[in-house]
This record gives sequence, structure tokens and C-alpha cells, in this order.
Amino acid sequence: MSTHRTPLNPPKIGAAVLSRLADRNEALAGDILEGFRIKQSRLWFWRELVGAILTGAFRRSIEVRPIKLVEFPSLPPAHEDFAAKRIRLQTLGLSASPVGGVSGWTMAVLIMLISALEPALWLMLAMGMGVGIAIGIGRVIYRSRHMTRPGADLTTVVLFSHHALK
Amino acid sequence: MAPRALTDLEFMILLATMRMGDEAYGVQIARELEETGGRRVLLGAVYATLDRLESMGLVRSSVGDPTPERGGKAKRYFRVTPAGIRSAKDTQNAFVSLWRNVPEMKGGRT
Repeated sequence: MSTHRTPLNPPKIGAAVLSRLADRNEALAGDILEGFRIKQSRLWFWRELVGAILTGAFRRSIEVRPIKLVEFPSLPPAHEDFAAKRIRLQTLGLSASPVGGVSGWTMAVLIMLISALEPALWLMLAMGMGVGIAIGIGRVIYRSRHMTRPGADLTTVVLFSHHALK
Repeated sequence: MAPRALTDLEFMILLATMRMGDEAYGVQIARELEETGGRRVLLGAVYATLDRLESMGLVRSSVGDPTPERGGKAKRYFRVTPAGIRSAKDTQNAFVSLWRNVPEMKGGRT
């Protein structure tokens, strides 16, 4: 009796998923296919495919996201201006949370704790927000009166940064 | 600022990459880790670690030619840089220093 076995093909659904993800990490997709040919195990294939997705190895290699707000006159800033730090970059927080690294469930728990233990803190928070808004308005008025040069069209732009993540 | 110490997986992957020489790519590095290092690691974790090592300047990668047995997909070859070799030696020295004068680690198997 012959012991020769026909080589297994990768699971159809798994192969379809892999082919869709291949453009994000071609080398890894090829390695999974090569490894499957050696191991001849569909369980191995699924384990590697799911593991690669969960470890983020198939994440997009290029992310486009706004990171800075910059004010500049009507002409775009030259590279030398950035290099010489003549243009001041201001970081723009895009998180809904006022506290770095705290969001979601942590915020919900904090809100419940404050409400239950010290409701008066909400009044202080509201007053703080009011003072913050007043300071912001004051700064906008001050800047519009003192920092606009004649003929300069102040424009706020969002610079996009391309992060190449290999 | 002093460079951070390598994790055990980073250290093992660096060594496996050096052992593989010109044939160091994902599936072969994972195979070397399993057969020689006795540690089974997901390919995704191997790539995530290699990407991190590359961003630290400890390895560099180059893309090879596509081959039919890989569904026409190219290999990504990795090589350890001189900084990677230094980092691996530093990690080895740290392990050896910790190893010394530990009575439990002397002699054969327990």
C-alpha cells in the first residue's frame, strides 16, 4: 500500500482572508503559506493566521493622521522655517479624554466615584471649565490684536504626517 | 541615554537570525527557534519582534524574489547589524554576570 499522501491545501476561507491581508505584509503572508506546506496542518495555519492578526503584524504600513496645528501666513512654510524653528508647532490633542491615558471605562468609573463620594467636585470642575474658556477667549482676542501682521492672512492648517511603519 | 536591555524573545530572535546567516527570514527563524531554542513562537510575534529590532537599528531587512511555493510572495531577509551584535553581547554578558556565583547553577542537571 502506498503511503504517499496528497499535499493539503490551505483552508479556503483562511486562504481568502490571507490573500486580502497579503498587501499589508506580503512576506508574512508568504511565510504562512510556506510554513503550511511544511507543516501540512490546517490547525497550524489557523493558529498562525489568527495569531498574526492579533499581534498586529498585518496592520497597515502607512498611517495618515493629523498631529500638529500650525499657524502661518498665506504662503506655505518652507522646510528651512521648520528646521530653524521659526514656526512654532502646537500639539493638538484629539482624545475625547481630558486626562492622558485615561478614557472609556476608567472615565466612567471615575465619574461614578466622584458623583457618589464628593458631588461638590462637579461644581469645582464646572468653575474650572468656565475659567479655562475665559482664558481661551482672552488669548484669542490678544493674539488677534497683537500677532496679526498687515497683509498676512493667518491660516490654520492641519499638517498630516505619514508614518512609514515597516 | 543607555540602550534598553533586550527581552528574552528579542535576544533569542537576534541569535537565531545570526545562526541562519543569509537564509534568515520569518519562517526559518521561527523554525530555528523551535528546533534549536526549544521555543515555539507565532510567526506574527516573530515579525512584530523583528520590526521592533529593526526600528532599534539592531537588524536590517531586504526583500527577496517571489517564489511559487509561497504563493508568489517575496521573502523578507533579515541581517543583524553591528549594533545588534553589540547588543546581543551585552545581553549575554548580563546573563553570565548574573549566572556567576549562584550555587544552584553549578554542576549538571538537578
